[in-house]
Amino acid sequence: MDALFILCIDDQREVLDAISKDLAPFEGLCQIEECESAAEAEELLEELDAQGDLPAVLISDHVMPEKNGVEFLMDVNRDSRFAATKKILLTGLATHQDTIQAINLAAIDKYIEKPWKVEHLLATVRTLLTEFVLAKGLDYSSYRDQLDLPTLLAHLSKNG
Amino acid sequence: MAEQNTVASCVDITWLREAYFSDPDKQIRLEKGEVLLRPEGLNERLYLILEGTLVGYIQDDAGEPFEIFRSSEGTFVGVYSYFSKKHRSYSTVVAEAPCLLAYIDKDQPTFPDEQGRTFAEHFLPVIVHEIYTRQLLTQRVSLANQRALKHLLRAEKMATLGQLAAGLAHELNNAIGVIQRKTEWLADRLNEYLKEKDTRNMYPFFDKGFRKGNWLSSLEIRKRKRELERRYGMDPILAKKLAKIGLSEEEMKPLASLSPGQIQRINYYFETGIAMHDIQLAANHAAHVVRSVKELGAANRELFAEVDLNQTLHEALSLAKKYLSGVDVRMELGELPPLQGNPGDFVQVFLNIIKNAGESMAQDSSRASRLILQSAIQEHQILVEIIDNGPGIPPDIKDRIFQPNVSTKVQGLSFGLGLGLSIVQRLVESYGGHISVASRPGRTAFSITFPFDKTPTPHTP
Repeated sequence: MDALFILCIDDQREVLDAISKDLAPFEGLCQIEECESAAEAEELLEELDAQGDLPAVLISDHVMPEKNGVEFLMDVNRDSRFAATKKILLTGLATHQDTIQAINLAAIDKYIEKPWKVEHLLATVRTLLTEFVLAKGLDYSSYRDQLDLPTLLAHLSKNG
Repeated sequence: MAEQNTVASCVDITWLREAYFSDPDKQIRLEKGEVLLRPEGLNERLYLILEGTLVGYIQDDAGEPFEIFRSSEGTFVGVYSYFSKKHRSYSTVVAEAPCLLAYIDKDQPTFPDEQGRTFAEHFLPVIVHEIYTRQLLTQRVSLANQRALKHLLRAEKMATLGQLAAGLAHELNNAIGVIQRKTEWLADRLNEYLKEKDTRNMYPFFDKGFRKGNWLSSLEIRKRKRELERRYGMDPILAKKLAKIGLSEEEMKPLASLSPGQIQRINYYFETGIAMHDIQLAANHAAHVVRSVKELGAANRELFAEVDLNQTLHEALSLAKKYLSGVDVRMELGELPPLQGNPGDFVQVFLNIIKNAGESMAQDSSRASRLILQSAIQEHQILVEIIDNGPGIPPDIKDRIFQPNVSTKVQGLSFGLGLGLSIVQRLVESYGGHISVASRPGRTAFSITFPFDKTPTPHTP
């Protein structure tokens, strides 16, 4: 089906709802899925992969019961099927150590602090989404409005 | 002082005693409180205590007496003034109990024992021992000072933090109060308005969102969304919007044929309800946290009220939230009779234990952290149990954890409201309660019992 997906993972339902509401501008381009735990997200990733859909961006909370956000993103990072998937860690409580681990081991693309600013979240997701679309060589012509123009232009000028 | 280092126990003074201190004419008796020596007073005698105890004092900077030694039977007194050339005492020596002392004068002729050992040779060990004892005492005093200073600093830090917390709580309280009241007002007006102007039968969706919030799990929503896609061939985005509401099949049927615009509208109403619901929830939560902090600050004030222990457990839990991130918390609370007391005391007790549990569990990432809070009535007492699955209390300090200055913290920052388990124990006992702990790796259980009056009339003549 190769539909694009953004997955939001947070154990607090109100927060999860708030993130996914903020991402509504991307609804024309991708589907936004909500997961309340890392395990749920892993299951969904399997399903999407089986259907041939593309998880483009993961936005994960940091501190969650069972598996935390860094561990989750670390595991995703090890999975070659999701090599191009973009990873954002959303956190309200991060120590220096956590940050180092997240960047080194989970290879996260962006780090966003809670409480987040909508514009910042949208801009970050837009850039990452554009990078994903380009990396996968997808046809972006019909989504141009929702993608990040500077990223597109940079890509075009580099590739002729 | 349990372990008195008497000279007799360390140094053999048998010969000295018999040869020099056995003359019945050279004995004096002191009554309790009688002064033997004064600072700068002349002393030309060396005393051996035969019975009783003498205490030596000097005056500290404030003129207060400060104990420097305590000597009992078999110990010499006046060693310094006797052997120094000035024959002046440097301290006040008082009988703490009736004493019998033997003495020799400064012009006492000396003679060797049968083996030819002189008086000085016999006396040297006594003097060495004397110096050693004084030094030991000084060390002890200095250690005690250091400890006291530490305590003081900690108490001061706690007091500062307490004031800070109380100030913050007060400020936040006003702000949160406004948010709470205005949200309520706004929700009521919105409710009225939508109900009144509802020409398209949209009000029920607002109402549902407002009353229930996000009541379905993400898993359930996804299931319902797929069902809608499958059954009605609905667009995934619209399907999700309807799925969130959690409508029954009957409620769903007439909606399936609606236009995207109409479904969008339903979603708006529902989401508006949810937004009001969530704001109110968050405001209430914030108000609750602030109230808990304030109550904790007021812990020292006399405040007797009917206390619902389960309520205080909830409050302690919300205060300890930051120590419990990622912890699966289970509450198994039974119905309890009210207790008389200061709610803050109980919050403080539970907060300390919960916080310790959280910090302990955070040290062990090998298992998913779980905290269980239980309350029940058992044998005419209220029993509260707080059980964590952390690494447990190290065996070497297990017996001492209720003593001040014992910490299980291996690493990390610790300031918070940590008043220590010694204070927890004191608080529990002040209510006639009892606290105990059983700990092994993977399970640490604090059990606290409080007696309650079955006859709720404290007015006995």
